Amino acid sequence: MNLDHLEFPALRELQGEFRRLGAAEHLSVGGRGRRWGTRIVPLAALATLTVAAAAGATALVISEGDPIPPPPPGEVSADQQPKPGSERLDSDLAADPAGGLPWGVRVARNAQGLPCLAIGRVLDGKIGKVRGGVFHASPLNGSSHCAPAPDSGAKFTFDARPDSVTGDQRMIVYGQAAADVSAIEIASPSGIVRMHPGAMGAFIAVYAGMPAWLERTLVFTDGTRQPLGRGEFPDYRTR
Amino acid sequence: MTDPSPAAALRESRDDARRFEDFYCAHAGPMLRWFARHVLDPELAMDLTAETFAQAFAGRTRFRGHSDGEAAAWLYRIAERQLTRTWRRGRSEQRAVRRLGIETPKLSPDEFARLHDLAELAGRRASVAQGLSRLPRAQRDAVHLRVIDELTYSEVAQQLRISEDTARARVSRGLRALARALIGPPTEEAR
Repeated sequence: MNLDHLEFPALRELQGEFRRLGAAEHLSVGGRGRRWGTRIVPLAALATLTVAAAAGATALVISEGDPIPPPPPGEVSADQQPKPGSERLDSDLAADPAGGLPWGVRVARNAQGLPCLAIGRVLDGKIGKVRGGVFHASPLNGSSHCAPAPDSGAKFTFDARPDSVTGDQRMIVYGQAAADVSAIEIASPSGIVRMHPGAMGAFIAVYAGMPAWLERTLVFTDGTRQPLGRGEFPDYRTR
Repeated sequence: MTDPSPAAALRESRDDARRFEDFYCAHAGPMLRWFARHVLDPELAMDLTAETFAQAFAGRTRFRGHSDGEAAAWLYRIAERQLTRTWRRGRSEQRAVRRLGIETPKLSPDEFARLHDLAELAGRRASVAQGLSRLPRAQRDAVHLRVIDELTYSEVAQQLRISEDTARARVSRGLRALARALIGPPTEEAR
């Protein structure tokens, strides 16, 4: 069976990328080869924006289906079960680089009062997943992680996952900040994102692919800044 | 007169990068299908195809062969390395794609379905189910939550009440075992 690449527009598009690279390199070196290790073109722009308007705009073209069922009783330990009614969408919304519904952080509390964070696409104040153009709200149980909030500064989670809408790789940086933090800045090759924690401290930023590096800075309410250092791909944590 | 063979295109691309496109055209289609058959996922196959050719473009000065067979073998060694890393990490590496600023195109629904058919993925669902059933319970549960239910590793860890590192290890081991059970080593036919 012959599979000609011309049969696939995606492969033709990829061919165009190599044509562009070849032409760019040919021009830049006057027709002579160059070696791996030097950058040929700027990195593709990675757009991460914090927008609230996106939610309303994209909600027009997304329908809502049945909620995702919670796991069977007993499968989630008691300390990981948020109390019904305690949940709220707490973070600013972060646009997905490919558009569609924005991302957000839901914060609830378990019986011990610990915050329980969950992330997802946002529609009408609910978080969930989009499959086949239909939004399905995430259950309270089974999609949250409950852990102590930071006394000072912020706790970060780096979550690499394929997006349920496009299948594209996403790097989602989210977490919870203490009351002494007024903003979180994350610099990356695509620029700087500045996030303001929600009432319960939640924040979120979404990147296309895996950025080469991320550099985080906390901005405290007294105006001081605390650089947290640069984390490199694939483990963005700093030592 | 330009030598039309893929090996010549690759060899000459060391001095004229524009020739790489001819090498790409000779191998892109079979490469996409080869990955699709190995990873059972057209989208992941597209990502791996892009990364493999990006690494080939970046490392083309290291090619020392002359024949088309040598050129294909050189390319598929890169592909096999990508496959191994994908199984180990649970996701595809996109280092060269990012470094070169390549926008990996997305498959349209029609392309997805076509590739699905060509790679005979539908006919292998039974084999996948059978392969899954033969995995140890712990690995099977972890693979199911991660791949079928699309949970994050953090969520898999919560569901199974294990650490995230353990969740990653179980998924990775399970996927490797599943791939070994379903697919033999790459063959000349597939290339």
